[in-house]
Amino acid sequence: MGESLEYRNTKRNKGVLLLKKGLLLSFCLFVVLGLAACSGGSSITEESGTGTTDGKQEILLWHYYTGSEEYLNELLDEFNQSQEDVHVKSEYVPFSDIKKQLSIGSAGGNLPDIIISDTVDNAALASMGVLADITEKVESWQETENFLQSPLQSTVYEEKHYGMPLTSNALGLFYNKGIFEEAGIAPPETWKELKEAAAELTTDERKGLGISAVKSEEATFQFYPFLYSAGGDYQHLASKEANKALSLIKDMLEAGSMSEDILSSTQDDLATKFSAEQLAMMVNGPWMIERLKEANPDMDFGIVPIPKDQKVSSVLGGDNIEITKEANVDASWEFLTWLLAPEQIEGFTRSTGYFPPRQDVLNESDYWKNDEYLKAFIPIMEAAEARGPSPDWPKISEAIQIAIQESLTDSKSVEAALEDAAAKVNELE
Amino acid sequence: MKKFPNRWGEYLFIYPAVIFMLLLIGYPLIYNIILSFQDVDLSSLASGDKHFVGFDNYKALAQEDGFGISVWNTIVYTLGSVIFQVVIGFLLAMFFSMKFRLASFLRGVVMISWLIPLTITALLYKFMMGSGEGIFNQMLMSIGFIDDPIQWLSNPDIALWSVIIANIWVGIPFNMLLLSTGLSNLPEDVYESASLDGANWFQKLTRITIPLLRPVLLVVLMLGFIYTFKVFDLVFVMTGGGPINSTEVLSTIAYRLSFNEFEFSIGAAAANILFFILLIVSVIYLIMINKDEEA
Repeated sequence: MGESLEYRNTKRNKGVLLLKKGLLLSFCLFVVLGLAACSGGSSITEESGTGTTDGKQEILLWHYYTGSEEYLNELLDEFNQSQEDVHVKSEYVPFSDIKKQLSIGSAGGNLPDIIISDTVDNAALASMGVLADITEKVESWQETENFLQSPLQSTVYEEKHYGMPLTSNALGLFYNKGIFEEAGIAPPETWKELKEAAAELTTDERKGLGISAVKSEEATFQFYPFLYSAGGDYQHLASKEANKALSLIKDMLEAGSMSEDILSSTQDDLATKFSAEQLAMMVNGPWMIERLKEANPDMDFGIVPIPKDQKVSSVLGGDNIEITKEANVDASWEFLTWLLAPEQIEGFTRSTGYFPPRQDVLNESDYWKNDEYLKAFIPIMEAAEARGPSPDWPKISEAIQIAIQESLTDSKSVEAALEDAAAKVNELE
Repeated sequence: MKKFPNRWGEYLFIYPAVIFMLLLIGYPLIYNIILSFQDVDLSSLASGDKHFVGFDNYKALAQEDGFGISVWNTIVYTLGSVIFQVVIGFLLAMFFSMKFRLASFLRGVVMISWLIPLTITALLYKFMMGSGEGIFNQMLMSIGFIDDPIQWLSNPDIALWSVIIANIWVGIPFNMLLLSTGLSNLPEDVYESASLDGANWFQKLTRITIPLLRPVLLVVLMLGFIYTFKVFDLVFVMTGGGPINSTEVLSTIAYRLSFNEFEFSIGAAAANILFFILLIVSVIYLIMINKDEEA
């Protein structure tokens, strides 16, 4: 018993104190490290525009383009030097992060002025209250009649415009010319011809047709042209039009003209099989053209619109450009109208590998109408329908995916599957 | 009064580790639990209005299309995978412990399947399980085992087992490696004396090898269970959860709810259920280990 209790206690208290200090210190250290890590995260974003911004209105643009980022930044520099009022900076945010970043930015009152999003997300972002209503500006702008209607329609939420289309794409029917010539038939134009061609071109090593019916957005995307061609839409899934569209796919599957593998095939998988000549036809988009040429240079393929029932139809994909709520709308709109003018939009959409959302550019530019493959997509673009628009699109899409898979696996009849999907969609609307 | 040793200085040394754990493991865990009791989706994230809603998210999750089947699938997937992985891994470990020429080289070769990124494995299996040109069907049909191709990934009754087969292949090397190490650490003199007593190989296996390997087997089962239970990549790439909901598991449901539908709170609830089941399994494991140590 050398030490008194009191002494020991003070020693212990001191120890606790020191310990707390240590804790505090290491805590601070980690907070600092954490902050550094966070700011490290934002340092991967690249800012463009080297010029000074003296006196100009600053506009920040978020985008997720990797391949065409350089081109976009050149455009920004050109815009910044062309006038004295507005200076646009760009920041790269990965596609998968953009919604999360927007939510965080919105909560912290720290939004960029202009953002780019997938067309199907435009309505959801508008319903979140992140976007500025630019209906008046869109309507008073003289250029909108030159835009394709579906892309323009994809920016609408509750009858108001919350963005402008920037790039567009759609689905077409790719066919293997060699196989068709051998069989002596022409690419199909109607559902009946599609069924017949798919059946005729099916052999032991090859299926007549491939579409994607995997459990993801791709299945809905690929089903949409058929649904619209029959005169159906997502709000009326329990209709005879929707039934007809889904029955067509089921019939071709049961006839063996399509493989059961379509239930797990992505659009990528289709392109792989098509380039291996295991598919005589597939439904796919213009972004596959380069890949097909590379994968099998000997294969000769062509592109036609997806065969029709009532009308030629396709589905719209691509990006919209939107102004956020707290942005300087006038300055942002000035930039938007510049970017969406024919000269700029032509170059930009070319750099992305997509199509311009403008009818006039599509018709007049030499780039698309002279390319053997791309020109096939011009009439397809004109017939493409936008999915939705609905803020609940992911859930609607999931209901459609389930209906497709239920009917194709014989788990439910086409009618029952579509009725269930319609019930789910009605609950949301 | 009980004497407290003055060892506070020594405790300082564990603080970096403790704080690291708290920040990197504790914080997300607690954040996720809190999130699952709040009402947070895209619009409330934007407005900053996160109020507590009790168990509403769990109720919504229970009503979610495919949630019930995803729990069942997760359990079937985990048990199916782990049992076969351990049995086959054990047999291979026994085989390679026979110290024949090239044994260690071949053991290394078997490890390859564990080194391949899961996404690649998933794509390979998807390709091999193609109904027409896939090598699985080609082989089974050429030996006359089946007459019609099996719809590995397109038949809702089979798809889950197809993913399990891929996962067994992935997990065998890991199990084999741990069990091999365990086997090589077993004392040889026990076997010698057993041989002198006239024990046959089966008796040696059931009376010596397996009881002595018990701690290693427990670790292997435990790790296998945890790794498998939170499966994501394989299912996501091979089937996307389909056809219909036949391969939907807890992690794919959580992912879809959080990142497709932006129902962050319901997604967090799904992730918590996954965590909770793993917690129970971990506790059972700890109790068993403690019993072993006391015995």
